[in-house]
Amino acid sequence: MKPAGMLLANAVQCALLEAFSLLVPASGRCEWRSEWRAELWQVRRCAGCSTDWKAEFEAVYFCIGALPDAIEVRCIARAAHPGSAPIHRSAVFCLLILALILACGWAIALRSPAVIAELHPARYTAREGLVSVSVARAANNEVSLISVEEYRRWAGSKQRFFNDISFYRMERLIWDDGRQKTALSVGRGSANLFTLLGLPMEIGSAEPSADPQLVLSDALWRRDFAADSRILGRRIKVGSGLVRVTAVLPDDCWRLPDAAEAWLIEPDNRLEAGAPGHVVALLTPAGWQMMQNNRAYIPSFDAKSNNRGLLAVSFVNRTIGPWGAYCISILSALLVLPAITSVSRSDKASSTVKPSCAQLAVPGLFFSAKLALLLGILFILPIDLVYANSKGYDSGAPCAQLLFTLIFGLLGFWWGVDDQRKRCPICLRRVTHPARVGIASRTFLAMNGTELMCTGGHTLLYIPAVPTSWFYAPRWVYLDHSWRFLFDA
Amino acid sequence: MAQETRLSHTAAMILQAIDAGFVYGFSVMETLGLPSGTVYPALRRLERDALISSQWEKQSIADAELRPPRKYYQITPTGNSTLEAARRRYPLLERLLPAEEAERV
Repeated sequence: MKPAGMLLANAVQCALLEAFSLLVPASGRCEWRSEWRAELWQVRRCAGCSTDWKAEFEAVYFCIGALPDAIEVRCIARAAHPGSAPIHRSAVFCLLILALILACGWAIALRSPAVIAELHPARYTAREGLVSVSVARAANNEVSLISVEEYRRWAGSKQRFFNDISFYRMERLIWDDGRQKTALSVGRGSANLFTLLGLPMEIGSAEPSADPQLVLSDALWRRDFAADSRILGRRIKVGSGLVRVTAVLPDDCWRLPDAAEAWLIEPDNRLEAGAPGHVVALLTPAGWQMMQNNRAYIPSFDAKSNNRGLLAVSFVNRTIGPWGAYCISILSALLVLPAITSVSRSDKASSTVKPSCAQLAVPGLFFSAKLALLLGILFILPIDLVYANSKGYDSGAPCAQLLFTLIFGLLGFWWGVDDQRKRCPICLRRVTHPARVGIASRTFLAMNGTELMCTGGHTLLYIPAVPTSWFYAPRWVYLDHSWRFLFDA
Repeated sequence: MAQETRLSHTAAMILQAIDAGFVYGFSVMETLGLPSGTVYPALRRLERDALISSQWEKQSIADAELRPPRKYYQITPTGNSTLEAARRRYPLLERLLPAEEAERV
């Protein structure tokens, strides 16, 4: 094995032992580490005669055995000191888990080009007045596709409400590079498509031209052309004819329905009749005045003077962006939260023990840290779920993100508040050992509810079974030093 | 008289291996062919039950042999009587690993 590989394997083995040692109680951690390092030395020496990789694999396998050992040591220590808190109840563990989820979320996000593209909304803004056009009878304009003939008729007639109008549709075309044939998902659009959309090109330009032009997506350019800028101007065979590659479109720019690997831009008269497609247009000021709630009903007459009303839907509401969806969902979740859980602060019972100001500030700091991590998770996790596997812009994605963020937000905030309510204000461990206190028939005469205990011996938490005028919120009782003997094992 | 600890077959084998002179974790593991995730937790339990005790090798000895110091395990009197009971329960145990087989380091 090369020294670099050996170093990496050694680093993995040491990291495993270090990580597992965190499970061992602090008092015995050094000794535990020393024993495992000494034993690992023996393993390496005995495995030295094996092939390099096999020896390192055996050493790693040996180190994995440290996990049950560390757990066993911890269990033995806990059995010897029943008062010691399990690690999963500690505040640090809670923050570590949240930080781990957040780190995983960002790791997934950074590995997914679609997510990265979504996180840079500044690179795309819908042009003012840009709308999708469909026949008004269709309730959902996304599926009401329009034929080429109808588009030509609209484009050829005098327009009062549209400045410019363009057409595109998706097709599977074969790209033949002489050695192999590859099926591409190609958006065939009219000559003014990119000018109308006002999309910036990564390289080259897609100005209207008499020749068929091919605009590559960034993904295709990198995958099949090795990001070679010399591809610009070259003629390649796509479908039945030769086309000229003129530009590369950045990944995050195309936000219209249906994703494509390339776009074939042709003069209007060369658009073949066939499958229907999408129509996009720019509204005139007159058309803009007809917009209500991002929609406008526009009259249009066919050759027989029949009114075929058109529905223009603005793209502005589709480009809400991840931040917009996130903010709306978080705000909604915060508004709904009081309906699903109590957000009132717990009571403090009269007690001789008065916590210091620093002690009183600690729960607030912990809650702030938890909330910050939670907000980070609620931002990145729904984006990962919605965009990580997406092949292009999906108009339903912002809605899905909105929904996921709202659901996760409600669950997350509910958990955050509930978790905070059950943590000892002194040591921030979750209270445990619930015990029923009182009887239901005496609810209004005496305490009736559940009592929980901090295993560190700092506090008791009383939760009323039925809120009454004198006992309506969970109540903390701080324990004085006379209780210590119960908890000092 | 205190009740004798009943050992599982694996724990009995590990105790027998220590009695046979395989006195540190890796040597037990190698002799019995058991994985580290079985041997070391079993050693902890045997030590908790006071059937074995452990002590660190002197640093000078380890330095002389250019290696880290080992943690040696030895069987206690309680462990001896428990092992005797285990041998009666598992007759092949002693034949598998005869006592004093290993060279004590």
